[in-house]
Amino acid sequence: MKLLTHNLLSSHVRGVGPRGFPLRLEATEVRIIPVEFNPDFVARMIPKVEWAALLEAADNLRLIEVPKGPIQGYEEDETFLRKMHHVLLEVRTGLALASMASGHPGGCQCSAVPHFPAGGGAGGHPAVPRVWTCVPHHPRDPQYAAE
Amino acid sequence: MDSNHQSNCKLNKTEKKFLRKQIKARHTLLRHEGIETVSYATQVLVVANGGLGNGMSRNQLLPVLEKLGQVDALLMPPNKPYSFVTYKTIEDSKKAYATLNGQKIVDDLGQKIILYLNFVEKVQWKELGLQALPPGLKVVEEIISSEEEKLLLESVNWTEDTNQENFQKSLKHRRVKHFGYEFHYENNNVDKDKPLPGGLPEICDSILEKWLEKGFIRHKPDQLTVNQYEPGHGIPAHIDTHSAFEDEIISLSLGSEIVMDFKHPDGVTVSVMLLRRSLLVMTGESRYLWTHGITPRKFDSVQASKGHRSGIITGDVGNLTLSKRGIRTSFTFRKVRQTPCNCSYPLVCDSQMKEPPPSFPESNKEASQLEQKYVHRVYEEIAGHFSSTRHTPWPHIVEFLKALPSGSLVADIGCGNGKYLGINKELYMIGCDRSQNLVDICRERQFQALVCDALAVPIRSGSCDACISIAVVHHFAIAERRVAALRELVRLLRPGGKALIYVWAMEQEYNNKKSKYLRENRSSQGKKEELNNDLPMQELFVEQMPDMGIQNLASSVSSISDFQKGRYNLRKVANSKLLIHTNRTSFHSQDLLVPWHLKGNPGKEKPTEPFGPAGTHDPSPVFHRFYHMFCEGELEAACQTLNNVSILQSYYDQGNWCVILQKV
Repeated sequence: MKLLTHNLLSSHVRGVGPRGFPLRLEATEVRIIPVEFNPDFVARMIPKVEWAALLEAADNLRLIEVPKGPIQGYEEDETFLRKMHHVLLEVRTGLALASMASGHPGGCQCSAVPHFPAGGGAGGHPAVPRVWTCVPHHPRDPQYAAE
Repeated sequence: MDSNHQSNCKLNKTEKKFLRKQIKARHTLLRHEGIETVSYATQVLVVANGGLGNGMSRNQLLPVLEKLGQVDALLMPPNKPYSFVTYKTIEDSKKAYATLNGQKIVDDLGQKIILYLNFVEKVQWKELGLQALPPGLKVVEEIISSEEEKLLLESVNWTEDTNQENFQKSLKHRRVKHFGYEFHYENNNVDKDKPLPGGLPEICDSILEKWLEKGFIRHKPDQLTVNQYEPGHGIPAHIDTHSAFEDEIISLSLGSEIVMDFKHPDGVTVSVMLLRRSLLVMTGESRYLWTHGITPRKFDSVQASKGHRSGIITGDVGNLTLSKRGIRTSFTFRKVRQTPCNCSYPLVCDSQMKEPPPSFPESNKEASQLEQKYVHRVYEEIAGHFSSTRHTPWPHIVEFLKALPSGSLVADIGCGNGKYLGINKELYMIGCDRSQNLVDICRERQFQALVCDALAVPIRSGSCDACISIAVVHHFAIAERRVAALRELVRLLRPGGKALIYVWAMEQEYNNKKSKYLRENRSSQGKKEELNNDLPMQELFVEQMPDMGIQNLASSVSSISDFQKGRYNLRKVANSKLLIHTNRTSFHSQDLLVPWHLKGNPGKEKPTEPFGPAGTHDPSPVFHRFYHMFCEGELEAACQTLNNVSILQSYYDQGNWCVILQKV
């Protein structure tokens, strides 16, 4: 899962955090899948980001060089946009939700557990905790194709 | 120079048109029939539009072809919109190609048809092999005299007032009249406690006695359904309900001959000629396991040579022509069964079904349980096959996604195999589906997708610029849950964000136009031909069950409460069991189960064994999905119960009701 997707998620299970957000990331597997850089696209994503959640996720994954928040004139700041591009769209992680694992009441509302292993690359890389692996660029990646 | 140029243009235009049609015909053939056309001249031409399937008879086509050279053979496959002609020499075939391609000729219906020709290496038509009648089926010819035929036909008074005695109905594709017991098309059964007064017509009695005596039949029937078919009429393929009638079902053909198609669950189809004054007797396997039906059309493909008219219509493509249908009246006699059926075909036996269809849910809990079993579990089971049938995005949905501003965040709630997730690369799309297997397919395709329930989507409130909900809301079993699904969708939207919602429509015919769902029904001619030709010029026939009720729908609709009160719940069956829908027919109830015939994994297919009474063969399993079909106005009414939306647009698209709404 891309961190941008993670950033948009919240738990629908009651009692997880004040607003069911953010979901805690437990990085069992982190991959970097290069995606072609589109500064305009990234710039349009910036206002949608919940920064606290992003920084917490980045911290959990021990990512470095993550901007602490939007900076003035970021639309034109390629360095900033490249960093955001990397963290939002290129970092892929599996998502394990501790609160989910602890079980929740049955019934249809809660029966669906968001399950979201690290996407990218069909080549079965073994899950290595906190080891960054670089898998070959996948031509069908939607972000890649976007450019 | 100038005029020269112009005429060139004109020619090019026409040429282009022909070329396009030819290429299209070529592709269609290629795709569906495995026929390969070639760009160089050969002796054999495939004549698109010159087929029995589109009303061209041997008598018409052959002389036209013979004018241009010596014809070695003309092969006309049954029910196909093309034929193959083999000329003695390549010169002749070239001449035919040059002369006939793009030419109009008049068919048996008096319609002008344009022929399109292409060279092929050789005639590619696989004979279906020797066919036999389905086991347990017999046809007794000339079982009554012309006088008796006349008397029987006269005994049915179609013009008389419906005095409720014989329960006459004019169905979409035929007229029917019932004696002894009324046959209910809602549940394909009879009310055993309510025999009709008067019993069977007197004239039938002596005839039936005679047949019994001579051993043509074993039981004396007590129910009679008279059907009248005009040319172009038909009856959908069906098996008479096991629990309703005894083993033996007989049908007397009067007035005109017709071809009836019998189909085995394995896909084998046998077409049987029912001559006038013949009696069809179905017992055992042919009664319990094979479906029978009459394709609505005006011509039948029949054996061309005299003296071989009766019995099975073989795939002898050199010996087929068209027979114009007349008005056929059939007397179908059945004996009402008083005990549950105990036949040897439990897989198709309603008496022996492992479990009865579920009841209409009365509470939220029941609805949720129904959805789990008849929606969630089913999609999980059929995911692979389902996905393989979902590849073409619907144009209006593509249009909606393409019109969104670049950089929009879009959630597809109920994304299935993700066919919309990659439509517009300028969007950031997240897919959700209840089925893990479908989400896995999305992920293999490198999409961002997750498993969740549409009533509890784990996406931040107000985060989406747009949402789509395609063919999802109709899977919720009660109105409250359908509204809850819409509310959840709207929760995801930011103020000003838009949602596009598609649900299946009760009305599969709108503005006198049949939906694609109905139009795609066609008569299958065995497994090989399941992918029937759909050359654009060929008419597609719709098999329809009696079409009742739909015209009673109110078209102006006001509030959701109307729907909730069940004003539009057409014909809820007494015991409120959910009906099982017949695929590719109109819907008879708003809440029903739609069968999904699971096709096995290609490559893993077992050789087809006879589907014996012992039940040794594993037929393609059938899964039932719950649907609530929306009536006109119902989706809008449901949306209007949400106080934070405005409906921007609502429309009908190929059998679906659609709404674009905006969060305010």
